[in-house]
Amino acid sequence: MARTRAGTAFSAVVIACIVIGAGGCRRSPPSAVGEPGAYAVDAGGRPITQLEAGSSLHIGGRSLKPSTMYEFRLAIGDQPAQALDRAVSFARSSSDRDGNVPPFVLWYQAGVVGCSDRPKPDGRPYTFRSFDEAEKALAGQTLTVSIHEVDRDPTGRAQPMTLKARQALVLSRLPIARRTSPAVFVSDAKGCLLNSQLSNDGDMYVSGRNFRPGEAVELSVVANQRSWFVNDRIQDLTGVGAVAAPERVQADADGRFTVRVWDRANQRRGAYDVVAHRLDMRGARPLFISPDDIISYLAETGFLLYLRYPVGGPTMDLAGRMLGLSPYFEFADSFAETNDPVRGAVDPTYVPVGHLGGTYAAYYVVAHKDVAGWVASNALVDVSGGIEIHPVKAGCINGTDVIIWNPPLALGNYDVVVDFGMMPAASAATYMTDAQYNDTLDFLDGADQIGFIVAKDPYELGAFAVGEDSYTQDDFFATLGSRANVDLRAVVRYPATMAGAGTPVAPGQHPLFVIEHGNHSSCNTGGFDFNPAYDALHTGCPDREQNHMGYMGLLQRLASHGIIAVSIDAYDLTGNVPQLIAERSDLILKHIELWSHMNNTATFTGYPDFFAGRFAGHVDMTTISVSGHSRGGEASVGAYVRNAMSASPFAIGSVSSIAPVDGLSFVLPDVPYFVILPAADGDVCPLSGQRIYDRAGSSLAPVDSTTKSGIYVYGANHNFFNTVWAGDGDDGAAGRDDFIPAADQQRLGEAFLSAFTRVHVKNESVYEDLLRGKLKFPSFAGRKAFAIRHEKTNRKLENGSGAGASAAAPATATSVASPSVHETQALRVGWSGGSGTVTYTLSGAQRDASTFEVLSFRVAQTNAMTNPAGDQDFMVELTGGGNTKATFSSQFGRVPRPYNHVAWCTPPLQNVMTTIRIPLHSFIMNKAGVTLDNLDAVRIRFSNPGQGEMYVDDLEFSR
Amino acid sequence: MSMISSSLGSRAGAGLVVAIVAAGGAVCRAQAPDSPRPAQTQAAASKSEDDSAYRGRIELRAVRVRRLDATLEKMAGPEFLKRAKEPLAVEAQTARPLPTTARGTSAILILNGERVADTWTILPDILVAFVDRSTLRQANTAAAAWSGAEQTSRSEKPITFQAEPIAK
Repeated sequence: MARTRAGTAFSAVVIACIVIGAGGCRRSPPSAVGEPGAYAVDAGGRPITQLEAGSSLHIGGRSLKPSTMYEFRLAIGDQPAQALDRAVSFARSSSDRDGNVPPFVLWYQAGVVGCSDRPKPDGRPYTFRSFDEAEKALAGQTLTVSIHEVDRDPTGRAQPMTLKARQALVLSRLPIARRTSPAVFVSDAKGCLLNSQLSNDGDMYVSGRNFRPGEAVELSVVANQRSWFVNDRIQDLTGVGAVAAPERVQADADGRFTVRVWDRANQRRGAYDVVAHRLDMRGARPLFISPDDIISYLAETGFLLYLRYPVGGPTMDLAGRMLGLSPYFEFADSFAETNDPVRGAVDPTYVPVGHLGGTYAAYYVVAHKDVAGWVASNALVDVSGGIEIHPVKAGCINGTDVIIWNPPLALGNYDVVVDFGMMPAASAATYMTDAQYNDTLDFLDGADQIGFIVAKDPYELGAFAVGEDSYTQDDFFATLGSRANVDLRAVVRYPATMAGAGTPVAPGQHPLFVIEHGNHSSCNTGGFDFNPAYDALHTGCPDREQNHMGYMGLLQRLASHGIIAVSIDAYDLTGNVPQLIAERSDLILKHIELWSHMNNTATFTGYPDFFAGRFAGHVDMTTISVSGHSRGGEASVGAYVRNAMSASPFAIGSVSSIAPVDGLSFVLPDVPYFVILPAADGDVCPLSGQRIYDRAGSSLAPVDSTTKSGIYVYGANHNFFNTVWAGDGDDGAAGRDDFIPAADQQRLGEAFLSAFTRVHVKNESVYEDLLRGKLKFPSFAGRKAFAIRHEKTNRKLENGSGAGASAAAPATATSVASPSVHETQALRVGWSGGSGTVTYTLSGAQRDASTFEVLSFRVAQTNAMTNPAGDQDFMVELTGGGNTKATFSSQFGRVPRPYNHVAWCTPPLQNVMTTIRIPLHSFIMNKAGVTLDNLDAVRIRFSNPGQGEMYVDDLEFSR
Repeated sequence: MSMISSSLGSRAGAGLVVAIVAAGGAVCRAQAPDSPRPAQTQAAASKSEDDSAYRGRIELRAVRVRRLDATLEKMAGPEFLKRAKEPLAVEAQTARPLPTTARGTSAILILNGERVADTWTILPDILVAFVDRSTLRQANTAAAAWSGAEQTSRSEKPITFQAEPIAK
């Protein structure tokens, strides 16, 4: 319930407090509907009745004025902080359209700052070195949170602290109690809290309090998650090579412990949580979170192992979104304009040398500027309707996530800046932003690449009403290749003047999209499929399987964006039949002939006009895209190739495939191609579409002068992309990693196929960045869809042959043919120490990268045991003009562990090289002096992790 | 007691307004603030298909060459019958039963090293390739594999068969 607080009669009033439901607790977060005010929750989002000393205070607001900036002040005692100089902490956060502010951290760890070695603000009231100290000072006290509306600044230019916070709207009080619940935290060897530490600089310790005396606890250091749920997997990373090596400890008689958990030598830069798995508690299940486990922390990052500033530059991801699945938050470079709030989060694992940290940080969303733009002006002008300010975790520059822009968003390109102010503030009262981006202190998500883009989710429906129809004629083709009496049947969705069956086509000409399903059962009645007499002729089945009806969501989406979308029924080529790829290819072309005829009856006169002229003049026969799934996915490729051999070919301008087979080894020439590779495909287990991708463009001169794209989707299976097949079961392995429910997999597939098709038939080039792996939208947020991308405009530096590449010990580089699922050469690069390199010496035209945008390569971890349990990482250097600049690959893309593809084919760990694109700006920023027009070498340098092995291919400068 | 929240001011502009936030609710076991959230309802994976018939290599037990009967002629199709001077079927019996579901992947015969992509399956264990007599040698080899996974599933022990005699 949104409520407008008109009148603002904030005169002195009597405050009365009524206590209801004392001692109760609730498992679910409080409703957003209710009387206006603040509410307190714990790190797991559960309402709390008291704050245990040492815990962070998470505060939310509800039923406030919509889309309004509020200041939240925290005071100790019964009275609100009348001014910031009386506040223990404060934050500014905007309410959403419904007047709600989701919970955020207003006070980290009840003021415990611990012993971090980072510079930290001391001298503030209510800051404590230890939990014991905090408990002694705070237990029995009361917290008062007041909420104050902040003056609005529509220009976004005012320094936020100059905007006046009005009198308190509401007060909320919460008692502080001694901590009785178990707690676990990263500490030094003496048990003093640490929130961050320079990676590999010292061993990592974990301390616990309030456990049962003598109880056994297994401690795991795990990758940070935004939240933790019972049954989430516990993946400790502290062993050699990041293999699991959890530490077991027994609490002492006081229920406490301090134990070393991670040797410095094995540490890896990153953000981590600590799980205390309580082995003695009922229901404790190995390797999975149990209800009584203790985790530091849920909504907060537990601990950072950081590196000093890389040579790669000061930008980092700041904008992100919540996820409904582990890790429950992800950084993002794109947002949908509706229902997709932009969150800001700081997990800086690269930190400027001598960074001062800070007490508070302001989040600005500003119009995107490139590097030159930021150099020209570092002034900050917020465009998000308000500048959020939040406290920063002590001894650390690690902020929890907060909403920095509530929907609706405005379409465009933006950067995010975290402004730590002019200097670290000693108190709330002395915090002052400087409304400037200072690259030695502040954080920037932008400049060399766009911070984030606001665009429409490609899954969203477009503006056209959708017309519905279908056509069918049994045995229309007397022969089609080896088959006789082949049907002509399809379902159609099209842009229309009004929604519904048979409605008129929307004015104008519309591109044509044709998709063909793959192989599946052809008859729902028993005794037909696998009966040779039926298989041979496909006659007599009383209940045909409607395989072609499995893509209705995709058709609907495309039609709503102005595309005539046709899903053809390859009934006679389906079931217990051979591959029939040539026939399937030709069937696609036959349907295009039909559409040519329905557009212009003077063409292909042997066809009927099923719609009596409705589509006459409305089909743009110059803009055709073909697609298919499984055998249909190879058939779409075959249709293009066979069409190109025709004397008067159709204008097929793009081709796509979902999990295609690859029996006829078609080689696509210069035509945009997109392929979906489901990592858990239980049918086309060898991921044959990768070979189609690898071969595409290989016959061109120069080789690979074509654009091709793909996604390798962890957890996706073969059948779920088709809604009809999804109903027949899951071909993927039961219990597989990253499982994607059928509806979600369909949504993902529809989003990507719609985006690819619209790029090429509607010229919606914004989605090219989606295919480059740059954009994520809510329709597939959190899914592991790794981009594979090759640009037509490129300058190849190395093609997997090893020519021009030299390895320096302890690295090795060997050219291998067709590794894993690939049909290409690749370099297998291994290293056994932190100083190995592979250098690509550039010559001739390779030396000039000035007309390109990125350094691109594709890479995959091999199955070598030397690889880490998680992602692989390495540095990429560019040398030119006597200068060298480097960046970590992980800043631009993941090199994940091979997916465990438990299926009938072997080996189960497949190595699919996915693409990493590093903007060339990364190598010239900060006046690095690297001459992009006269480069000498590209070098891969292995530093952290210190060992591993991977395949690398197609190193190139690219658009 | 839950957190107490009081509104300062009134919607009417004056008077006392009291609000209670996050109060009440079902009594439950107290949880540590740093304990995990309750288990999420995971989307259950639907029943997985049995792919055991696809596992491993396809070994052949026997091969014969035969003339086409009426059913085989329909399988072979009119184009092949028109093209082939002497249409024949190579029938290979597999060592294990073939899958009983129609999928993208299927078993294919490899005759004299050449893949026959359009291999038919006749349950429980017969693979059929249609060939013109002229393409067969006196002594031939037959192997089988799953389409797309020839390297890992191709028969370890190809069978040698003679073009003659030709069965009915």
